[in-house]
Amino acid sequence: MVVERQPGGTRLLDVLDRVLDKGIVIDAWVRFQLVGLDLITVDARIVVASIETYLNYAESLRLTGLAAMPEVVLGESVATSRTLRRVRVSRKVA
Amino acid sequence: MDSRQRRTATKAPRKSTKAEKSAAEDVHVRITEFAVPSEAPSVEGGRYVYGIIEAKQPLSFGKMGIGGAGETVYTVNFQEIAAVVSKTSVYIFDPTRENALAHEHVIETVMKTHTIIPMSFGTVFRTDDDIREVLRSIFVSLKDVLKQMEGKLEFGLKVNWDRDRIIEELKDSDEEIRQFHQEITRKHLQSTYFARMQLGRMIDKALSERAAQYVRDIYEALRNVCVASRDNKPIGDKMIMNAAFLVERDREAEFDAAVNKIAKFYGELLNFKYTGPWPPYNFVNIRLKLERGAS
Repeated sequence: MVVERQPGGTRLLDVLDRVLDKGIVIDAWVRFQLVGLDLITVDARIVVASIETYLNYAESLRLTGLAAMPEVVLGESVATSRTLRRVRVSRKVA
Repeated sequence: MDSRQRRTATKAPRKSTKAEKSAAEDVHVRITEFAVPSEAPSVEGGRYVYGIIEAKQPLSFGKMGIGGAGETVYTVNFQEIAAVVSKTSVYIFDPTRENALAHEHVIETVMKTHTIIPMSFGTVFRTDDDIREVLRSIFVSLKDVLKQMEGKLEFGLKVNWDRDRIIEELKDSDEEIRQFHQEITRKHLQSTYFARMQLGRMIDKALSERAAQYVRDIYEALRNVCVASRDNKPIGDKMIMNAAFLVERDREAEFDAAVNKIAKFYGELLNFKYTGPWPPYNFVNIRLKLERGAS
């Protein structure tokens, strides 16, 4: 059997799997804010919240739950709510 | 007062007297209160950002921007890095089929000649100057990541199996399961319900072990032809492996050959879905946030 390699952007599922939350990510909340902000004139700036690159060889050894429940990414939701809170806090402080 | 007016109001007082400065800060406070502006975008519009590349000179990649109007895709440069952008009058993009594919298409075009750190879908800034400001602010991180990803491509590999077929095979090949299965079929036990439950558990366990073994072998076969790999969660109950591999551009053919070899080895037993090249989505995760200035 010869495996045909499909070019990246042919199947929507594979594309969405990558473009929605991988690479350089700005929270949806901040993206909304950017619409109303002019970064040059306003006293706020975009900074790196976290940065990770994965250059090691990760082998799969966790194949116990083939039909497991969807994974809840705890860290992510915490980060999001923290960001939201911070925005609100900064408003109050100022 | 809409946010457009406030924005203009901020521009002038910034460099002037103390009293005016505090007024400007007051304005800033109110700006953060409004997440979604009600105004229509300005005539000039915004800038959709696709990703970051290394480039000393401004570049143009042709008319293929997101939004359907075929806007020119060009770079906004800051020192030796650049954002790949196109003009848009829309600020909030929905990830429709058309939009998602347009986003990906631009990135893949740029990728033919450059290493690109992809931006996730739907990032729009107001102006080229705003983008330069962001590039300046996160310059060091971007340089570092660009260097790490230089000359590398991502490939996707999803492996599916026919679960029912493997179960049938297990009933023949796994001695324990085979005997137990025969016993149930032969004896018509009263306790057949519980016996079948037990058989089910035995099969589940054997399936997991079998899948783990396949996946380990596939990773092992590809280890020497790539830089790194990431193991994503399989989707659905037919998928046993959902991986991404980071491969040196000049070893692409070698990786291809290795994938084909392992796929050939498994023949009809496993189904390989092999995609790429992709930009290194699975190997870079930079999260950006908005921070108030120091003053």
